[in-house]
Amino acid sequence: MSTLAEAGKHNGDIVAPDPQASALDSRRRLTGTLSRDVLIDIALVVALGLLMAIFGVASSGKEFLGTNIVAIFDSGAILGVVAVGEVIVMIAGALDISVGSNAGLVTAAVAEVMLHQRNDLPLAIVVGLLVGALAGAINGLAVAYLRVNAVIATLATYSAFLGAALLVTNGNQVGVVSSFLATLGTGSAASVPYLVFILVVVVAIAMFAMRSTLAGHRVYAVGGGPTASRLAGIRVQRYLLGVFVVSGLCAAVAGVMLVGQTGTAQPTEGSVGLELTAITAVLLGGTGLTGGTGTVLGAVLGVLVLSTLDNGLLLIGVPSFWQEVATGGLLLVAVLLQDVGGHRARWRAVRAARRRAARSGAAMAVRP
Amino acid sequence: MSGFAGEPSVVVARLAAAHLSKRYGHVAALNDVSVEFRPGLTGIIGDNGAGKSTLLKIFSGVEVPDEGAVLIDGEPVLLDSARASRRVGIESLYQDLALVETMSIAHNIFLGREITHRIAGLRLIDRRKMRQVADEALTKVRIAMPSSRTGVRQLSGGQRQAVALARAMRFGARVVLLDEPTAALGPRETAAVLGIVRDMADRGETVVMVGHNLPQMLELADNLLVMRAGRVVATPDPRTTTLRDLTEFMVGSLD
Repeated sequence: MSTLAEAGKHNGDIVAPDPQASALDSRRRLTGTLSRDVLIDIALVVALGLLMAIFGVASSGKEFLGTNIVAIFDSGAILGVVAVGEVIVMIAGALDISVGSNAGLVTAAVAEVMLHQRNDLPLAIVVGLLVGALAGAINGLAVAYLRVNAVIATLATYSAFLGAALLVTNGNQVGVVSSFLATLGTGSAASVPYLVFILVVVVAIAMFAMRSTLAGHRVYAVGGGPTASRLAGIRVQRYLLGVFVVSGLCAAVAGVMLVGQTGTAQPTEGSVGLELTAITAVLLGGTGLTGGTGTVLGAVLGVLVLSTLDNGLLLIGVPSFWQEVATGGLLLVAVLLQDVGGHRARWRAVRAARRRAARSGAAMAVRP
Repeated sequence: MSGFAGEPSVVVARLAAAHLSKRYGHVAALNDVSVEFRPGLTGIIGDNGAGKSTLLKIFSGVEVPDEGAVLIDGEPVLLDSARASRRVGIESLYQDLALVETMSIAHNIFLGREITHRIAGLRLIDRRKMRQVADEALTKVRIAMPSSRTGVRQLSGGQRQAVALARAMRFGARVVLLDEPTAALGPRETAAVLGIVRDMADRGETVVMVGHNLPQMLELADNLLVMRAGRVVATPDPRTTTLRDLTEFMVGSLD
């Protein structure tokens, strides 16, 4: 009964410090107060610098830096906005495969409104954003309330949105005449493209929302522990619906940017395929598929790494097919590196166990 | 702490069940169960399938009874979700703990009840305040804990249980439900966790604990409730009951 007496009906007996706990504290001291997220962000910035340096040297200098860095941001802007929506969905523990075709559908909607409503641009943009958000809401309703697996639900809507875009445009490219959109898509201020401004604004809002607001905080909770969150009284389904609407809205913004950049509705060109690149960027940025982890900043850094890689390889004359191979290789290496701590710890434990077993002549090895 | 289930009493019970029944297909998990829980620690014991967990699930809003009602301070309440149960002051600690693995201790303690401040209509979370309050709460749990910024993933089973208990204490729950809180713990951590539970009961909270360890229950509980085949079969006084008595209540006659 000694343990029970200890637990006892009396107060005041504090259990001695747990050695495991203090080891944990010292490990935290070793890595400082840097969390895994911050370490990954730093690694991505370093990787970005290295890539730029390598391409800068390989392309013999000045040409790469300067204007080309602007080009990297410019080409990554649309993808970046899509990736912001994607990372929020993935932090919530889901996945949105439909973002690319959603963006395409939005371009079609914008073009049709412009065509039939005498070039009413504000109306076209509002309709475009609404279409994107509504498309996101359909995903959200399917995943949160009908409990369809997110991959399956958004794979279905990926196809449906693409079909809808083709129906609306009859499969044709539709030209959009708007000097405002054209300026937005191709112009710049102080040599910074307007598209990059949009990206910066979207990223700033998303970072603030995810880091500082109650809603963002709960998206992390819902992704990291849906059951625990539900039992704690958090309305998990609403948050799931919410992240898909946000993702749809981001895809819509990207769609409007795309119309500006190309001057046409693009049901397929430039929009379809965005989803996979966006997911790649999010994974590069340290967000897992299991939810509850990751950052908006990481995803954006992932986008920049991808565009730098594309841009640099193109600049030094590597055939474009190799760009795809390089992207895949990079993703694999990055994901392996992010988990290297876990692998090392396990390996060390396994090796130690084998040594112990060998010393004690464990029967296990003898068994046929 | 007198006046237990069935005994006439002038004080209205904090938590009570009136004629609760719950069936799963042809199995009657609960069969017309009426009980009252008063401040202090009440232990529920019974064989597997006796209905202990079903009773707790109804109180925590996870299951809805087919018949009967739950009463808080004598008033019937509708507990159709975990949220509803929490709102009337029932705090449940689930067997699998219900913590968010990817979050820190502090954020788990405040899960669903984050400290926020309003700026320009936006609800912003106050991380520093949550950490401060959490660190303070952790000093009361009698078990060595790292800083409240530490991730729950890095904690031992006992430490996790302590986090869940700190959460219950922090929010001044009127009723705390525990489903085998020490099932997965070593002896030292078991002692620590039971110490926390005992502290709560001594402070006058109504604590209801399901457990399998009979000697532990006899030692620790103020009141006992024995269930068998979906019914409450006995409410023995732990000070005067023997292990043999308990076993007999649980399985029927030993002869």
